[in-house]
Amino acid sequence: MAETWSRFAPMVLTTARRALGSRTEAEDVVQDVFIQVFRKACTLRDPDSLRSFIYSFAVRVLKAELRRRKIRGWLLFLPDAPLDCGARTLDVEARDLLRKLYALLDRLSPRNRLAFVLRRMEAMTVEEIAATMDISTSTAKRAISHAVNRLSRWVDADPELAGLRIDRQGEA
Amino acid sequence: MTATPDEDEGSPALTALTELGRDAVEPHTRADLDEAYRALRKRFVAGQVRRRALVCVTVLGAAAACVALALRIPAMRGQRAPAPEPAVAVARIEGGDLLEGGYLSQSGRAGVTVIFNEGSRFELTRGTRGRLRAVDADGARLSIEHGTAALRITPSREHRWSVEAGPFLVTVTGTVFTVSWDPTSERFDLALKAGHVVVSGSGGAIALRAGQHLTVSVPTGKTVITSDASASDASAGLDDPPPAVTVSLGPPSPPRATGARRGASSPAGSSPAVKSGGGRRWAAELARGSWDGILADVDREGVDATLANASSEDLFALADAARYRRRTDLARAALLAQRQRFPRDARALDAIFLLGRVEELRAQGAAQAITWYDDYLARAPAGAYAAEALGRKMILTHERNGRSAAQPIADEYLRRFPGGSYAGAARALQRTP
Repeated sequence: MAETWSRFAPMVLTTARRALGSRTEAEDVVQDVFIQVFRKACTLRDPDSLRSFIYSFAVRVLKAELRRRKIRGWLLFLPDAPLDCGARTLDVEARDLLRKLYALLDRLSPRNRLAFVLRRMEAMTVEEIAATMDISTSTAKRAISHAVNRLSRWVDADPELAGLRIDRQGEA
Repeated sequence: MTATPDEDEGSPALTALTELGRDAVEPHTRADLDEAYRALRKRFVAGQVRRRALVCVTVLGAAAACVALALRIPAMRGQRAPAPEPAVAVARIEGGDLLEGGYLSQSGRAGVTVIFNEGSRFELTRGTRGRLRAVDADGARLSIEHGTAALRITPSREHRWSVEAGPFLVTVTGTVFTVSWDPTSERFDLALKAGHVVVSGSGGAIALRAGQHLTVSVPTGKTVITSDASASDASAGLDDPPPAVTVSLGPPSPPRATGARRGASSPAGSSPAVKSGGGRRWAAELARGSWDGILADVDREGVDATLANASSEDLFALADAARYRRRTDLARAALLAQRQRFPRDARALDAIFLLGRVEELRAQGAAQAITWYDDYLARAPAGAYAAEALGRKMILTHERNGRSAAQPIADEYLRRFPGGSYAGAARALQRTP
């Protein structure tokens, strides 16, 4: 248990934080993922596929968490989940940008959002995404493309965000 | 970027934003992971026991619920709806005065104490820089830029109190505690004197009881809880049930969003006009991204009438909407009206920084933008937008006057905000001869 945790928990934690935008929520998700992994460990036939076994649980739990968040928002009119990405993002401008990014991601469906995050933030291949999310390669491609198109449209429609590249070029 | 040639890469802004989201996640410390693992093991073992006991608990729980319901119904019949609580307001300030932007000045040696109408107290020790960001029907939003403050918040069903201390946001419903923030060492302290609290943040949830002391060092990520045996729950004499405090390691929510729920928010002592004209709810529209709706309202009502009648909060929302739609004249007019009509509102200070942003949208506005940023930095050297104001000033100075003029600003930026979003640009300026 301890070895599996120390090998894979950082990976799942990072993915969850990028997908959810909240460190606290990500830590809860990781606990749920590993509880399920340890309970179902006896069903794992090939020890070499442990990574994808864990990732598939992570994606399932993340999807469920995103669905729950959407339902909570609709039913209870709750504000967006708090963004607590960490101490390095304390600058007001960076915080605002991150909030905007996660507000836009909140508008995507959980599947498209996860496909986008795995592709663009986790640098997974389309085939890996398809296997992890248990969908076909073409469906994974469509989900990523749909997410990219919609996000690009929303980002470009927001003058504050559209100006981001100028600022970043200025920094570089 | 990881897009393949046959894959649509999306807009450059989206790429930049995605990279920001990817890089914002810091690596996890060994201690964090070990602690999480211990919690996981405990949960895993408890889960196994729990499954076995589930049947018994279900039966017992159902029986207990029936009994509780049977006892509760007669009590509910005789219970009337509680009367609404009065809005929070400042009753008096001892040992100091309220300045522009809600800052508290100290006139004596004993610090300054703000006493609210419902009994709550906010005491700044000598030398502490603190601020009333907003006081309204919902409660109050306070901030400590450096130093120590003692708070005694009267428990309430309706009021929400929050204290910003550096990157921490303490949300309070009623309790007695002291909180301090040292921006130099980035150390946060919270000493709980009465009640029971749950502290949640990046290190997970921590339950604290009266007499416990939480210390967080941001640079090292170290969280320490110590106990003071002399303190007790009864020491502060609060009669209400255990109150709750939540410390979020995430950034404080933006000040502008605070008053959106119930009309305009204003700092204590602001003019009565602050509370009038709050019917538009533009802040909510702004949050939904309905900028054009706000601008259409202004066009219908007339710009002059809007600027003369809108509440402080609405003027701020209007300025944002106009800025996003590049209507710079309208954005500037709204911010100037906000400053002129509500000079003591906490937003008046934020408006100075935003006036700088508006000037940057104009072709020849850089010089004026720098003037606004200088003004903001002079008035609020540790304000919420200080890092951004100094960073923008550095970039604009570089563009206008060249690298040598911008280098001293880069030095200052890195000294004050080494982890800020302009640190990369500042280092680039330093590196080049």
